[in-house]
Amino acid sequence: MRNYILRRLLQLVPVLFLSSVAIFGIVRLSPTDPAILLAGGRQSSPEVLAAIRAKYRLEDPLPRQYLSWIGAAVKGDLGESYRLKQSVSTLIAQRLPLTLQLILMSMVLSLGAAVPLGVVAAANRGRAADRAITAFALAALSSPVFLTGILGMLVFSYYLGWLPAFGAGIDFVDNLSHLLLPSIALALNMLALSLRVTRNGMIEALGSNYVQTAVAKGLPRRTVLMKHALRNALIPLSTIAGLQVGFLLTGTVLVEYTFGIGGIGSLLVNAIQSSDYPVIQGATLFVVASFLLVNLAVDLLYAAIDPRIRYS
Amino acid sequence: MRRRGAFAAAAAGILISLIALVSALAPLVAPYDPDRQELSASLAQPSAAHILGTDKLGRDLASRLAYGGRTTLLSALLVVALSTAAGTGLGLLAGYKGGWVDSLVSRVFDVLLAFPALLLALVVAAAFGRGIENAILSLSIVYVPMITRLVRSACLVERKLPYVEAGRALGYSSARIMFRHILPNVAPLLLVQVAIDFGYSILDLAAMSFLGLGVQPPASDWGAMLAEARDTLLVAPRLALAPGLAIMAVVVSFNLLGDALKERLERRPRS
Repeated sequence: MRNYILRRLLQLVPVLFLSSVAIFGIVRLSPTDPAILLAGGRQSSPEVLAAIRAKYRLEDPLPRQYLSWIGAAVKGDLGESYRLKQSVSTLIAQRLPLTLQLILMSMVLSLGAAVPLGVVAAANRGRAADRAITAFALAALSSPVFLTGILGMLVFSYYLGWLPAFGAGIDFVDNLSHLLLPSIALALNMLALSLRVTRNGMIEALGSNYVQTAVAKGLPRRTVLMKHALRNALIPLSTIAGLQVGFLLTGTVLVEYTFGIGGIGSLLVNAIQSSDYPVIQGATLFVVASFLLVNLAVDLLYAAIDPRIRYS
Repeated sequence: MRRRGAFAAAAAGILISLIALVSALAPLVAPYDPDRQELSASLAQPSAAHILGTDKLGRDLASRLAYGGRTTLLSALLVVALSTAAGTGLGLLAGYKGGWVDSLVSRVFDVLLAFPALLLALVVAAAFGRGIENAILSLSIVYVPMITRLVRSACLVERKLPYVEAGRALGYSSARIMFRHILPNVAPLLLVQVAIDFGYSILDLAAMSFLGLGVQPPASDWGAMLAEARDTLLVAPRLALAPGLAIMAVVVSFNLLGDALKERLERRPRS
């Protein structure tokens, strides 16, 4: 097992390396001259621009610029924001807790709704409850996350006045209410996938021999559903966790922007809107690296959840 | 159950056709120029003159919805067409030729798949500048790997079948075998993906326009209309509801269509 983990971690290195080249390459392909951005976008004299180019070493050949960027990145230094004049690593570190809380709350809400709904749908397969739940999930999947967010804002913040509409709170507890609407919007967006997987898993389990046996033994329906069928139906759910993380990462970008929450997502959007290249590069690299690591962690968790899977 | 699925798919097809028709015929059916401002009629309620009312600048919402649909649907069509063409070509090539071609394509796309799709599109759009052309192009690029992977794996199965061997024995060129013989057998699978991708590309395009990276004013699509409507959400929620519901209706329809096609495909006996 330890060798397996090590091997998987090593396999990440080339993918991360190529991703970083891709990120750097895409951003530097841009027709905009970073020196002009650094000069504040105003008309600047050639001398000023030359001085900026020299200071930020923009005249160096691109491979060398890449090497100095990635070399520092490995040590945790992602450069300095053009616009905010702050270290990109610091900016990310400041905003990470908020984004993590948002992601965590959305996952809890999404799974908390999807699993029971999936069980109910499977237990009532083909009947009205099943159809209503499936239709609801389809509608939630097809609504852009910012639309769900705006509608939630309209109803729960403006009309009912139950929840704050914009921004984040001052601490974790305060954030529970501030991030509730954004998390619901995100959770609804992800709901369909986990619901479908739970429902299919339950339907399969309910048709299997061991469940038939349990029913034949005269066990209460509740016990059969919850103890026998659900446990096995939950295994496939873990296999889509990686997909969910991808959904979540882009979802947080949109949701944070919609609700004016200062997390990693809005950091990235603001950087993109103002061509703040070091922040775009740094934040994207950070998100991609996290995405890859979480996917790896999920892979490794299968073994822990399902004793039939063993890695060598 | 089966009939209900077919009914839903038919309804979805009709709804998509209707919306596509209204969008395509926007210059004929829209009562106003979508960009014509009439500040005296700012935020007018729905009436006989403006069936859905007007926005902050007094522009007719119904006309903007029709023209916006044109941009949204046409852009989504382009994204799906470009990515499917490129993805199918690369997938057939990688799956049929194997060897170093396959390794190269697969490795490159492993890297692209390490990015959440919309995130990559945002970075590409950031580098090449905002605008609908760049949004279409960057989304097309990020959709290619998924299609390539699908076609490649289907092609790996097909190429072991006797008909491919027969083609090779008859001395047909690789291109002929790939496109004339294998492609038609992979096509149904591809069609399901196209229907689902159509829905996703509408969502992603709307997201890019919502973030200000897609269509640029005064032109508009449903995503940009939603972004604009945020300023007047409290006074005129219909400005957000109209484009929002339009997006939802189309995406739901494409999802239903994709599901129905998939179900059909799975029932189809494999010869």
